[in-house]
Amino acid sequence: MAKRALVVDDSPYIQKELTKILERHGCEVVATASNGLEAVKKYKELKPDFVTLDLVMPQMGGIQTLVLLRKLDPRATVIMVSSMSSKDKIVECAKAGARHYILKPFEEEKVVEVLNQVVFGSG
Amino acid sequence: MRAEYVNAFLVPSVRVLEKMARASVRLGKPQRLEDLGLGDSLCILIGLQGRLNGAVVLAASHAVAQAVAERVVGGPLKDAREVRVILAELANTIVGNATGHLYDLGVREGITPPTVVDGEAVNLDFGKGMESVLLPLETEAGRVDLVVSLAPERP
Repeated sequence: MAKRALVVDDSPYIQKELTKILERHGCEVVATASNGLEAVKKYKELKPDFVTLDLVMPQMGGIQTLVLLRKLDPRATVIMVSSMSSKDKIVECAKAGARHYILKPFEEEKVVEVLNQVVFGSG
Repeated sequence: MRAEYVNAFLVPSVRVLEKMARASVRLGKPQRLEDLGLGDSLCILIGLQGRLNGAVVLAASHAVAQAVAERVVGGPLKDAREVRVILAELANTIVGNATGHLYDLGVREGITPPTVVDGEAVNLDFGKGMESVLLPLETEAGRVDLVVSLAPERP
């Protein structure tokens, strides 16, 4: 059974690209969201198996959204997606409850590796 | 502006254009500037916040922006909004990756979401006292300019 994903990114291009990758690898993208407020609303409605979450977004950024999602559902599986490659950001996301971190520009093999570890549970 | 800071942006610019736009990149002669008249251009502005404060601008003529975006998606694009979205993502990826290089230099930075400026007579004024460097990046799609504008570093 396909794992249901919510893709959260303010870039329509990234929403489309990540959706294509996820749907090639055993996932169904049930919704996309362009900011944290929308993400929390859609999470409540759709209860996806996991969320991919951009770090830098207008209105509500990724860390704030992550904290809210985890408050809403302590078992929420959230994978951060960002171009920011500094160790402090990665650690900050992990401390806030992110399960993994995917760097942009994407490498499909890395995305698949993270999916296998976090979503399909083989890692 | 320290050369290491310029390189922190230059290295990911080349890498991101090579990887996402599948373009080979040649750096032209960097120039210091106070303002920039770009004419017909699509510009993406990303703010920097942290030990360094300022902005990074990715700019190209509309024709070059279209050509670069089409290389990213691997096909023709009819909608100008899609070109803007793709250029915004290129800029976001370049600057975000640059924060990793800056972190390795001991400089912690945050970035803003991209702002798109799209016009036929774009003029950028970086403000008095800012140190601004233009890095011309020549690609098969044409020339893309990266401008890094920083306030003098606090001691």
